[in-house]
Formats: sequence, C-alpha cells, structure tokens
Amino acid sequence: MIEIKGVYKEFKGKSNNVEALKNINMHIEQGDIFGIIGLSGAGKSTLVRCINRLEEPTKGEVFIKGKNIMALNSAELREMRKKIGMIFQHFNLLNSRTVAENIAYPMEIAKVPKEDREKRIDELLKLVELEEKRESYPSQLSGGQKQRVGIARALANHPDVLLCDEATSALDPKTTQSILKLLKKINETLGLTIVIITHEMEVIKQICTKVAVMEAGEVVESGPVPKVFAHPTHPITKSFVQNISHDIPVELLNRIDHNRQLFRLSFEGIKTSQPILSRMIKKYGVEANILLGGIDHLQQTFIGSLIIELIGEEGEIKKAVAFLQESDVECEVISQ
Amino acid sequence: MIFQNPTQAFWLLLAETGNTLYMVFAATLISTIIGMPLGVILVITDKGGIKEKLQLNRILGTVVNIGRSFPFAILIVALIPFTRLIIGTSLGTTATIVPLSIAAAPFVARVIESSLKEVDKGIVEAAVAMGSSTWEIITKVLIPEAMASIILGITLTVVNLIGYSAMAGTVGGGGLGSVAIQYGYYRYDVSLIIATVILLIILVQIIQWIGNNIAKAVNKK
Ligand SMILES: Nc1ncnc2c1ncn2[C@@H]1O[C@H](COP(=O)(O)OP(=O)(O)OP(=O)(O)O)[C@@H](O)[C@H]1O
Ligand SMILES: [Mg+2]
Repeated sequence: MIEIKGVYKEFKGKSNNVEALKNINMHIEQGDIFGIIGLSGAGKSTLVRCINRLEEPTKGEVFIKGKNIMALNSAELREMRKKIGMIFQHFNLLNSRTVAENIAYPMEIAKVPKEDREKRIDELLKLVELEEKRESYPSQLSGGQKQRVGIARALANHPDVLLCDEATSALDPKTTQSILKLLKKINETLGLTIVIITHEMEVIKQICTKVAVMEAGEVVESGPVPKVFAHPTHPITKSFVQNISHDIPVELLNRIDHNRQLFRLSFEGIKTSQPILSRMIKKYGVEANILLGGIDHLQQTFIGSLIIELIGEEGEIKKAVAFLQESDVECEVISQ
Repeated sequence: MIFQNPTQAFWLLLAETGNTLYMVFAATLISTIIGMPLGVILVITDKGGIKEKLQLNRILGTVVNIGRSFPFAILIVALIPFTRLIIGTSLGTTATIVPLSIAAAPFVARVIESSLKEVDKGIVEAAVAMGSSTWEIITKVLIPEAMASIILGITLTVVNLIGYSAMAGTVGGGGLGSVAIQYGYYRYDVSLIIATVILLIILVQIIQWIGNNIAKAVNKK
C-alpha cells in the first residue's frame, strides 16, 4: 500500500543542517493502522509529510499503491493528494465555512457535482455522529467535534489512506478515546489504511496494528504492536512500554535488599494462560517472590508483565532465567 | 456671507459631499483592483508561501514601498500628464480619481498582505494537503478566511482617501476640500470651513461604523 524506501530529509539551516530523516524504510499494508511513535523532534511529522509530499524528501522514494509519488508533476501530485486524507493536531478547519461547507471543500476542488456533495456530506455527518452540527461554524464546536469534522472532511473523496498527525494530542483523555474509537470503526468498516503519529503509547496500544518507533530521524524498532510491546529491544521503546506497563514504585524499590535479584518479565498472548512461572519454580528449585504484576489487554492479545524476585542458588537462577527466555518470556534484570 | 441664504450653502455642501463620495469610492474600487493582486502576490511569493519566489517578492515589495513613500501632494502634480492622457483634463472630480487610486493602491497592497498573513498556516497547509491549486487556495481559503480583516483594511483605505480627496480638492480636485479652499479660505467664510470639517468627520464616522459592522458580520471566528 505504502512503501517508503531509503528516504532522507535534510533541512538546510543558516548555521547548521538538520538531518530530520535518515534512511527510512517502511512498508504499510492495506488495512493497517500503522502507528509511528517517538519523542518530540524525532522526525515523525516530517516522515508522514513525505507521504503526501508536503515535504520533499532529499533522497529516496515513496510508493503509494505501487505508484512512485516522487515522479509526479504538480498536477498529478494534486490529484494524488485528493486520495490521501489528512487530519491535524489543531484541526485546521476553515473558520469562514460551516461544518457542511468544510466537508464540501475537498469535493469542490475535486469537481464533485453539488447534489452528490450534499449526499456525501449527510453520509459523513452520520458516520462521525455530528448530524445536528451541519450548519454550525467551527468556533461553535468543541475540540472533539472539530476533529470529527476534520475526519469527515478527510474522508470526503474516498481516500486510499488517512494520515493523522497528533490527531488526539490537543484533546482530553475521554475525547481522545472517542476519536480513537471512531478511527477504528472507519478502519474496520471502510477498510481504510490509517497512519497515526503520536507520542503517546496509549494511542498505539489502543488501536494500532503495527508500530514503528522513531528516534533522531531513524526507525529504531518496528513490527506488530503485541510483539513490540512484549519484546521491546531498543531503550527508547522500553521507556515507552514501561510508561504504560506496571512500574515498581520507588518506595518499594528502596525497601528491597540490594543483594536480592529483581527481574522484569514480559510475555505476550497465549503464554499468559500458561503456568510458566510455576514450572520454572518446580524445575529449578528457586523461589519466586512476585512484587508487582499485571496483564494489559491489547486489542486482541494480552501483554503480561511481572516484576519478580528470584531467590536460590546462583547457577539455578541463571538456568531459570534461560528457561524463561526459551519460553519466549522477556527477562530483564532490574538494576537498582 | 457669500450665500443669500443657508439653503444655497446646504445644496452646495450636499453636492460636494456627493462629489467627495464619488471620488473616494471610485478610487477605493480602482486601488483595490490594483492593490489586491499585489497583496496576494506579496503573500504567496514570500518565504514559506505557497508559491515562494523570493526575488519577485523583494522587487515587488520595493516597488510598493516606493509608491507608499511618495507624498500625495507631489504625486498629484507628478501625475498631471498621465491624468490628462487618460481623462483629458487634470482638473475636477473625475480627474482626481487617478492620483487618488494610484496613491492608495500600494497602501491597499500592504493592507491585503497583512490581512492574508494572519490566516493560520495550518489551514493553508490542510488545503494544500487536500490537493488544492494555488488559485483555489487564494480564492477559497486565503481571501474568505481573511475577509473580516480585509474589510477593516479597506475601510481604513476609504477613510484615508477622504483625507487625500480633501487635499486634492485644494488644488482643483472638487469635493468638500475645494469648498473649504474656495469659499472658506479665499473668501473668508469661516462658517463654510467649519461646515466642511464637520461633514468630513461625520462621513468618516459613518464609514468606520459601516466597515466595523460588516467585518463583524463576516467574522465567524
Ligand atoms: N521546516 C523545517 N525547517 C528546519 N527544520 C525542521 C523543519 N521541520 C522540522 N525540522 C526539524 O526536523 C526535526 C524533526 O521534526 P519533526 O517535526 O518531524 O518532529 P516530530 O517527531 O514530529 O516532533 P513533535 O512530536 O514535536 O511534533 C526537528 O529537529 C525539527 O527541528
Ligand atoms: Mg510533529
């Protein structure tokens, strides 16, 4: 669906140049809800803006439905953009137009006849549940309602893909939930491919099927969300994952003897229902003291995380840890 | 008193008020027709604009600045040959429209420029992302979004032009300015000077009031 190949982007500054993207390769499939997460300045916005060429990559290629968009002239580019919906953190609605007129805008420029526009507006307002706001102006709407209008507007020309740049970052948690639900519904009912940029792991956890983690212009880790969640390898990914999974309170840590060994275990899916831990205890004769634990419900799968203390002979503990790792349980020593 | 009765003075003032309005509105229309495209070009060719062309932007900016720094009194005189060429005379109300329009055009260009620059960059970017052409962005996004501010700017132009037209009146331009100079100054009729000043003040107030109200009605922010 979307293929990003060796994309570089350099911003030329007066004194120094910023390498915002360094050799990005990405494959987004039809029907994916693809999340891109990273800290501020990681290059997320620059990357999605390369997908519709709001930003021109310095090097590299972007294919959408097999078409190399870098090869398009400006008229072809405009036509292609009509098939790529985009929503923004600050909504960017036309203040001088009503809700209906805002949704009409992309259809006007695509030369859709008036009757068809009106029909489509009704359909979209129903989809985003804003029928009663048809004639309101953006200034009369809440943030969540504005983003719904933004979504309706982005869908007006039946796009192939929807790009979302921090679409929920200006909204409160409850409104964020409702917008994420709406995006999920659109993905499921229309089969629309969605690319979501965010710095909140919650958003990824809630609706994304795949995730790419960015740091300093590079994708440091990517894959299906449950896998990345259960086995984060890069420190930045770990910090995102730990932010939402269960962390040990500092008071608890302080009370633990420094000679004891603490481990963070994380595991995904079916293993949460298998008694791996008790098997390990029986097999190696070590004792496990569970300090903290929980299971995260992540769309269709579960991610479990446990913080345990292992007590026993040094050699046996090593073997026990190896056993856990063989059983696909991520096992990490927590240094105090 | 030059006039037999106040009625006669009343009709004179009424007629010249009409002349002033005629000059001012014609000049506003023409200067907007010239200044609007200039203002739009100044915005879209500026750094980060939708059709960035810095060289053109700099040249146009300089031309507009030169136009704006020309003192109006000198402009009227300098334009006499040009005015004769297109109107046939350099005297009277219709002839005055020429220097008025040319004096106001660079002002309008800057007014439009600053109004359009107030439009949120994100809104323009959204329009670009939806596949809008430059023309569509100008006509469907920039101008409608800036409309309230443009109307206030045009109102300001009208008010300035009332001042300029009074100045033009003193050198054969017609309108309320010529009443003040011909009857008030040359024939020492202070009451007519006072009357023209009061009329000018009332005109400015009314125009500003109308401008403010239209701008308010148009503003959906
Ligand atoms: N137009 C520009 N000119 C110069 N540098 C830029 C420009 N746009 C972005 N950058 C730089 O590129 C880098 C990546 O920026 P980008 O906006 O893509 O980050 P981001 O991951 O979206 O961050 P945030 O979460 O804050 O939105 C930053 O260092 C930024 O300063
Ligand atoms: Mg960003």
